[in-house]
Amino acid sequence: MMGGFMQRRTHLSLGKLTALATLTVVGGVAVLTGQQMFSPGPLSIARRAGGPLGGVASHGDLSSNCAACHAPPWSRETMASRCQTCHTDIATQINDGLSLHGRIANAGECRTCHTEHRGTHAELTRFDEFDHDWTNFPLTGQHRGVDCGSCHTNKVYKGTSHDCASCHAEPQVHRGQFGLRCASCHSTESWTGAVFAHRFPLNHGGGGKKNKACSMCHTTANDYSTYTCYECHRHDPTKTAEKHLKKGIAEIRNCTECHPTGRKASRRQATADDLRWTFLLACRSQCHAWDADEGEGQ
Amino acid sequence: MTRPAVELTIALTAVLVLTGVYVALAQDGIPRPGGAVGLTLGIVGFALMLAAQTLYTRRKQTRRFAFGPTYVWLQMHVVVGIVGPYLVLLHSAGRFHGLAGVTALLTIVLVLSGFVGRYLYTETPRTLEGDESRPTQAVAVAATRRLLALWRLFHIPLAAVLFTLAFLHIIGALYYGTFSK
Repeated sequence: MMGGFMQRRTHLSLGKLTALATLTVVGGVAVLTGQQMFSPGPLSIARRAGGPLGGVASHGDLSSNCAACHAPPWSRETMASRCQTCHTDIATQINDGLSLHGRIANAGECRTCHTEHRGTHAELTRFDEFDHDWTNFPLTGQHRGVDCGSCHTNKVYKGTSHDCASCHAEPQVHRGQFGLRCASCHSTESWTGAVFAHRFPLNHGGGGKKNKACSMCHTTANDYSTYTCYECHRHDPTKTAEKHLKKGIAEIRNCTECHPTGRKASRRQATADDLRWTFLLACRSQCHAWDADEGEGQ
Repeated sequence: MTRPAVELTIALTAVLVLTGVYVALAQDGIPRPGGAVGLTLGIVGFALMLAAQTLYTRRKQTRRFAFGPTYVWLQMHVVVGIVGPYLVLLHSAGRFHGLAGVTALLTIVLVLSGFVGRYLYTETPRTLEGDESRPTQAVAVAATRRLLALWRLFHIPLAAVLFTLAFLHIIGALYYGTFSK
């Protein structure tokens, strides 16, 4: 009985002694390492693109200085305010209300999007909380489902071009004729269903002639840089050449140069009145499968 | 005679069930230790470890208000002492960094030590009856009891270190992760 009692006392004392020794050792290590032992994971060693801030090149440089970011609970400062003490450019953005961080409602809560202690090479930004509408390039239509890396290569987000051509190669069907102002014909909903102004009036011959298929004039497949008028106008090329030659016109390959409205009018430039026939042509499947029977707006 | 290892069966079943739940929760990635799931795992796991330690110790030290036989409390100690640390390991999400990492690794060591202790405990006869009257058997029993006493000198301080570190980890997490705005 007495032996059991002594044994219990010994265990109890041993436990308490061990706990006290542990506290002493941990306290000593904490003092020597600046509480680094409480870190849940390594800080990022990614160097700031714009150079060091206050002599700090990366968060990893602050590994032994927890208080650099963590304000005590009883302090008026917060972790976010300590972020902005170094990152003054972001503080300026938040205050101006115009640039990226200025558009974020809770921009003062830095760690909602920016997390640390996830590894030396971990991302500092959580994009699951990121709304692209905060940028100057809101994502609409099909862009909403695109992987970030499709546009932001090598995980570089700042300075990404807004030009469509920076991501989308110009299709062969364009043949370099439509320029790079894609938005004038296309929406982000779909490449097909492009709407564009056909400069040459398609109904120049009257109602019965409107809404012809693209291939009626553009007889070479996938080439809209060339056309022919002879598919509709049953001129004889030889006779037409002779007729024009009599008027001193030798070069007749480009009919619309002289007949911009498609009318018989002799040499003159197109006027605004001529171009009033220009109408929006709905072109399905990148223009070349357009069917005359489907009419406008398809 | 060795009792059926019902406590191990219960603990293994609980671990399998919890693994299934964890896998279902980890569909979108391993839960972070500081996230809702991770914190829940840590809190419940630590509470179970604390219960495994304190309840069994108090029962052993209680004479007047003993509730249930000691071996049942030992079985509880084994079950909860396996399930609790398992939850704590899930809480760690495989990150063994700093004080939290040391605590998680010590948890593994403590559980392994517990398995050794349980083996020694079941090998030691509870009474002075039977074969112990034979001189050779008596020597073997004495040797086993000495081993068990030696094991306690390892297991109990280890538990004290672990719980001290765990408390410090909790205080650190509350300070830096919760109260630090």
